[in-house]
Amino acid sequence: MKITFDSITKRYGELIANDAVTVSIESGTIHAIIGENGAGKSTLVKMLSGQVTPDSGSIAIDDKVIKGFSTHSAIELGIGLLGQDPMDFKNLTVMQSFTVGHRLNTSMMRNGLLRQEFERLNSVYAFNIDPKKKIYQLSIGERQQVELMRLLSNGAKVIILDEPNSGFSLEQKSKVFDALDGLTEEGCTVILVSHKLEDVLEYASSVSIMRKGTLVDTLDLPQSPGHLVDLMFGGHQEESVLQTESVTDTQNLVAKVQQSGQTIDLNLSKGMMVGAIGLQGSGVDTFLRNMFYDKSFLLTDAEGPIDKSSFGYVPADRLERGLFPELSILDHHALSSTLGHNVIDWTQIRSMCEDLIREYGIIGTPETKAHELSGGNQQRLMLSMMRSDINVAMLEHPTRGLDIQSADYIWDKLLNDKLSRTVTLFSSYDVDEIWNYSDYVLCFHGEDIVASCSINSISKTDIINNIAGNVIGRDE
Amino acid sequence: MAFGLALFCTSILLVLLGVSPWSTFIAILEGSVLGLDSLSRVFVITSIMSLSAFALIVTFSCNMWNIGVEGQMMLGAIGAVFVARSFIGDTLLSIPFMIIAAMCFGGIFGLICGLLKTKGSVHEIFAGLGLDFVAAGLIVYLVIGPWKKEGIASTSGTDIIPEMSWFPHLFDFKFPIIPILLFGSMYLILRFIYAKTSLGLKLKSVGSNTNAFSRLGLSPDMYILFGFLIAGAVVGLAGAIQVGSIYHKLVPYISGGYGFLGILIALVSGRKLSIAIVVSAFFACLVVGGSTLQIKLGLHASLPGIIQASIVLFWLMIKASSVHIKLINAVSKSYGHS
Repeated sequence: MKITFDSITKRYGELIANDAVTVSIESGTIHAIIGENGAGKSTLVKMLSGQVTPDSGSIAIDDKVIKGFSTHSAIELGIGLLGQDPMDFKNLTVMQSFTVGHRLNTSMMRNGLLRQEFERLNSVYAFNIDPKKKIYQLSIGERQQVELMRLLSNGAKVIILDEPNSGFSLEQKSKVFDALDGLTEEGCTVILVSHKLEDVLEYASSVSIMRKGTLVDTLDLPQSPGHLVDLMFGGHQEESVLQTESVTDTQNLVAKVQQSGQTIDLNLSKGMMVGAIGLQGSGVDTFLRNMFYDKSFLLTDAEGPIDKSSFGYVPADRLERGLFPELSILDHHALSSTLGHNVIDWTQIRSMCEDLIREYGIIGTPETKAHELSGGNQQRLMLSMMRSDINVAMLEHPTRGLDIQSADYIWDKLLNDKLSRTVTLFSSYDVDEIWNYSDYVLCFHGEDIVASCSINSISKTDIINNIAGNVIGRDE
Repeated sequence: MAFGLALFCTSILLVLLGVSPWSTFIAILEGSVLGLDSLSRVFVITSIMSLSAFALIVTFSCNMWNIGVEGQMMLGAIGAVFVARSFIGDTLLSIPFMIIAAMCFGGIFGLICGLLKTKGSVHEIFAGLGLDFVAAGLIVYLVIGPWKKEGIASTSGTDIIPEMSWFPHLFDFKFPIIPILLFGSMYLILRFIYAKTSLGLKLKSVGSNTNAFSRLGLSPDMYILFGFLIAGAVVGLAGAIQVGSIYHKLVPYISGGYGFLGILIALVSGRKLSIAIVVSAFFACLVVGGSTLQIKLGLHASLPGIIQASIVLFWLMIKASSVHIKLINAVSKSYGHS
């Protein structure tokens, strides 16, 4: 199906998310939309899926203008969106969630048929999802995988992938894109929203570049990466080199970690950056969360256990665990900075909030509500809420959904702060991220920690072998 | 705008029932704001309704449905009667202590509902509903049991409380000073809490996302309990007004449904304190003026209730369907072109 956005405008208060955007997407192509965080990519595609209504402008499918776009009409037209935060049913099992809204789910439940279909897709795309698990037990990536299977199996004609990268392994990604490639030959249209240039260059045939709510250009691929980056950032891209000061291994800090029934003592050093890595669905997904909420978790230095009130936690699912959807940025900062105060000094909070918005480059005003922010900006808001007196920082995928510039900025900050903190822990699926920034690494395979050591005593290949369950590479 | 439309729809309904909307509304207006007696009643009922709406707005801000509001009001009334029947009932101290007791009784009853929710994992709607029945039963027990009238046990209520415990009227024109002071000061206090204090912000945030709340090292349970405590105390005051200004004794079902009406008012007013007062005043006029309809126009006694309910229903429907926004746009467009 051919899709045409005609001068689409959408405002959230003072924030212009889309400013007269006109894009035409040909039938049977993989079309990429790229841009930095808050450029308006997600807003644009959410209009196609009916989740957001444009203030003005129109959308045409196969040159027919569709009036009053709703989620219902989008589904009727065969448009499926796979979002950054999957829209699923937390209390249902994977199989039930797959069944709801499935075309085979007519008045007579055809469970056997649906199960076969699920198993088929599960193996075709090398996903490894247990249909009996509950959705809330899955990682975000796995939830995205379930959603994608449902969309594909439902015969979607237009598939929108909004920043899907974080949820898939390399092998899965290539299988998924092979499948999508096959679908485009049958006339399906795929829209890939991303800021990972390498994916866009590898899989897409045309690309639209957005910046600050406006459309910069629509080009056929291939193009040189440098040219695209220039267009994304307006030609002011700076090469940044991050300085990592590694921490000497003095072992003056002991963490007692409970993982899959066993207790492990980790001998850390103060100021360390501890990276936890594993595949999607392994124990790494819930490791930091459990540590933050688990009362038996102890972190001890020479003077005894470290006070839990100085722990800070930044979760991966922003709107579910991290932020208050209905509250403004100003409210968020007031809340995080006035814990323990009774009366709020709003003038002081406002000026602090404006500073933080500038410092973290959040695209929004103090009055913008959290659910109105783009995914990347929600991530920045969570990070900007971290108080300076946090001693132990626990961050799940700290740069999930951030563009290269923002990710560099965040890492710069985290590395800067790490020496003033007792310890910084983060989790990631990305070996490079772990390799570049950690002083100490924890490798997960399944639910178990299969290796824990200083980064100097392990090789990158060993890390990969460990998380893949390849015992030869294990260093114990 | 939405309100005007709701009135219009209600008028159509009245015409369908064979009643002239114009004379009905005029009669309601005459029966409520014209006349010192009725105006005084409008003020008292406005106070009661506002306080219950305030209580609901507090619990709504924590994303809780405080169905137990009726029971909390009844407990407030029990507290007030308890003080009035005691040895200080015939002294100047009675009224201040009635107010304090009403707040404590109502607040504790709210807290029980909150505890059932947070510690007992009972959904607040069921906990609240159950506690409403408990409170109603408690009143009946008191009225025919320990606090029964001398010599007889009748459900018509306890003995009248000493006159020193009646809320006084100001001057000759029956200005109900205490109810107005109570809801006015509650309005100011709650406004201050929500605008200026971190308690207000926390109540709002815990309602928005409990997960994110506990991530900040705060206990969601504690603030949900706070919400119920405040709500119970606020609506307990309404119970004290029922005793001090209206009944002067304890009667079964003393809350009179005003607690449930408070839920509607809180919803219709968009959970805004100041708008809740205006809406309460309007409904108070309907209640007070409505009672004269029967006498003046010979209409059935159920009509005021029908008017009240249909206005709320139409109002919520119109607001939800955003018909009024489309109308406003259409009107402003046609003005723009001409």
